[in-house]
Amino acid sequence: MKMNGKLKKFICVLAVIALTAVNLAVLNYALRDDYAYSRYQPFMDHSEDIDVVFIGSSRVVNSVNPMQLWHDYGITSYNFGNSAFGIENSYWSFRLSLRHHIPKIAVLDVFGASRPETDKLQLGLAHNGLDMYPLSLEKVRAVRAIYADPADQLELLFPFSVFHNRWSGLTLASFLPSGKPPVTDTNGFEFFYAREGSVPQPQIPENETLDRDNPPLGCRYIPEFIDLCRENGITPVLMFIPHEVEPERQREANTARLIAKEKDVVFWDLREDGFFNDLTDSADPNTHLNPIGAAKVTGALGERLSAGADGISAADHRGEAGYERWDALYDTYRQNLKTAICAEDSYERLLLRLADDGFGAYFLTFQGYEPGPEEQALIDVIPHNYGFESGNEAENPENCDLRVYVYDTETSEELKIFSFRRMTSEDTNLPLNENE
Amino acid sequence: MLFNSGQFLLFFPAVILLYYIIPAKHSVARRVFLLAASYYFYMCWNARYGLLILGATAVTYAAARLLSKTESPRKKKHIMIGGLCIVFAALAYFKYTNFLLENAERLLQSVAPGASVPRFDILLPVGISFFTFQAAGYLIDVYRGQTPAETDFVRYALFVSFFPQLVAGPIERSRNLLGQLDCTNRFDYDRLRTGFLMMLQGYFMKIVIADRASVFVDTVFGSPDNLAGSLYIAAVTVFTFQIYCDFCGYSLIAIGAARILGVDLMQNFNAPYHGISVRDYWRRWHISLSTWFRDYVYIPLGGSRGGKVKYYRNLMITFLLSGLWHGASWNYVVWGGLNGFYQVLEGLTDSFLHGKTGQKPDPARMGTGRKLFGTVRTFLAIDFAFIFFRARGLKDAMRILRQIFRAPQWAAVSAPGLYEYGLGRPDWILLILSLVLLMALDSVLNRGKDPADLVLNRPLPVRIILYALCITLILLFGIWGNAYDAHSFIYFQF
Repeated sequence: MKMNGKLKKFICVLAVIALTAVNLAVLNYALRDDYAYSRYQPFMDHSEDIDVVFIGSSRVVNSVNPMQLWHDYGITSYNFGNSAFGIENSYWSFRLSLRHHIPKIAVLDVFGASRPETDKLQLGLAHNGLDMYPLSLEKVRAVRAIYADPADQLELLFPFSVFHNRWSGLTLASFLPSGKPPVTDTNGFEFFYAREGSVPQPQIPENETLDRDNPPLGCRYIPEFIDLCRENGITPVLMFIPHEVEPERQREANTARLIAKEKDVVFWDLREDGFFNDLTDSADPNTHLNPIGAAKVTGALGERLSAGADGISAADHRGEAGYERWDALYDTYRQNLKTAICAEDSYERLLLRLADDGFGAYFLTFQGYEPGPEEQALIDVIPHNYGFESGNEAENPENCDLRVYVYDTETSEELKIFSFRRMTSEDTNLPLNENE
Repeated sequence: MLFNSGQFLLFFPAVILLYYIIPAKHSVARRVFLLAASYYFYMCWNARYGLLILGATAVTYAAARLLSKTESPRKKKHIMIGGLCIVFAALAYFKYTNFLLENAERLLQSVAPGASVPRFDILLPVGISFFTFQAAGYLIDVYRGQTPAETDFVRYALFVSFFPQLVAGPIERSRNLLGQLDCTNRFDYDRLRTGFLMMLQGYFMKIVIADRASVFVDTVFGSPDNLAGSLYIAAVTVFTFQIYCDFCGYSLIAIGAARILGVDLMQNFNAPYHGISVRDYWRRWHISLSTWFRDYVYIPLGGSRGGKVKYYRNLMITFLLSGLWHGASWNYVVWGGLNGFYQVLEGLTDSFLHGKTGQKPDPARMGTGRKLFGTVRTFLAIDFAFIFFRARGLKDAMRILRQIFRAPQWAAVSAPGLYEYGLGRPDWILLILSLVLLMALDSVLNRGKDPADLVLNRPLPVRIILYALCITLILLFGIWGNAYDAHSFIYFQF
């Protein structure tokens, strides 16, 4: 009888703990940072057929397009890049992902190897690469390895500890799956629709490297990454995405080249391909690529992987049984691109979107409009440019300066006609007014 | 270690578990364990200050032992005064040295302009005023023969440093606490649930109300600009609730934690804002300190004996000292003085209204309207005095008062302007709703009932749901975690 009483009390305590845990789990779901889940849900749900993963910072996010790799080369891949991720963050996020799926090839961008320590900005963004993994001992190890402050560790292990401050934004929809943003249709890749030239940087010789005797935090994790891959039967590849980068970043590439030689792994320095054009390919100075640059990088990687360059080869799965979901995924991706291009209201962004092989454009100019040099450079890289001609003023009732006819190249369907007007009549180089 | 830190949420369950794992028959081991846990708790702030408690403990323990072996009243008095001088000297050094030097400099400058007196770089140890007063109270009790000198040093050291009430009280009396530190108690489920409920209410008051209120209060009082007077009125009103929730919240966590460990600490707050006079308020606010001053300062001064003038003098001295205890700054002295003055004024008014005895009618027989009038009047008086308490000094308090009287600009406290001072609309709504709930709980307490019974008298499944819901809501609405700065408890600085 006495035991029963004790047992009952014990069960009561357990019930309170369990109910509280359920409440917190529900709230955690409602308050979570949806971005991470949106980006990685496809990986968590369907990672079994992914051959290649690309790891690194936001440079990877904006540079490697798995949908293009599928469509053009039949390569199944996932973009595991994350904004502001140092190599240490990338390493641990990748290591956690191995509990779900072990790919054949892992490609690490070594940008960030010179980073001496993990900073607070990265703490906020670290949620993007960690929150989707359930709490585990491995996750505890990951968080403890990256962040020394117990408060930071608590935040990453129990995101509710920080996101509970969003309580005022809770609605009924927050608790429902339908209230969550749709998952990414690009397997982690994100377009960066901007164009801004870089500040020219002095070029340093190849023998200038980071301090090898006392390597910075990011650099220390490169060999760790190689070892982790080998322990799991994955082929590791190091890469450096081209851009006009500062000398310290160039040292990162030089160091990676040395490490690759020492550890007998492949290093793809895509700067050597010579395709980078700062005038058209750069989204912002010295760091990210826009869709034009991304298409070039993805193409270069696709060529290497499909040709088995340096012994690194990824299979072409197009048409193979069991890979139908990739075609469906690509169709969704294309449909979403079409929807997005039709909703575009910026002329510059429209030109960036037209760099996609799936779209074509025909330009009609009025009132003596002529493109400026940067605009002309963007027009020149449009793969399907059907012409740039002066229009008949009588056929310009809306009094615009430029009309762009956009087509779907696969179906030849005319998607939309855009009309733009100069902001000032004197300067044709100025951005044009929004589509009316 | 803060009660509202993750560290404490790991520390406390571990202490409970280990304490009750040690068999009750090994009470010495339990005491040693609790003592070690208490020193660890304190030394998390600064390990060196553990020596300070140890010193205060050793001095008062030895003095009390000497007192118990001495027959001569004169010698006894010397021993007591000597012991008190040593422990108060430490308090004076850490808390009042720079205050004295600052005032000496001002005096000197009135004679020799430009003269300066150097200051010391002294870090005030957390809770020094609390454990010093507790140890001093014990020594006086032994001197008075109200409590026997403790022979067990470990038990006495635990009395001085018992972690739940070490840094911000309640300031316990040896008569109440020492006897409970036998550590022979067995685990008691009822103590667990009632203690846990008190802790929950404490956390609700601290992290949902006090820390939310502090965002607005700190923004307004911390502004270098002269803001609208009405904003200061709003801020000091919110502060009146903030300090109550902060300090009472701490006390409830302390009392609840001690209760789980088998120790009943004294009640420290009893619905103070339901007080119908300032005197009544002080019977309800920080009861352990008020009664300490009553027992060891006010009554030895003569209390209410010897006529009205002496009574008022003693009252003023007690409250001025209480002000000085709170902080080494003149604004605290003015705050204490104002609270004393209010009571003098009440005494004079009562004498005028109720004849020579000055005795008010029994509150139980007072009408609701009269009670409400008394409560509102008392709240306004206390609220006004808190301007001096919260300001950054006497000058700052005077500046704020000038703004209140010269430029109230009432439009400043209306939405959406009010939302520019740290708290948005949802936070204001939450704060007000929480205060309404708190005042409802306080009115239950004011009627002599225990608010915990509102939960404890429910059927078991409802209780389980209520416990889980309370924890969840506190975690959801509380100011904690990396998104906010963890707020220390206001009274730690005293």
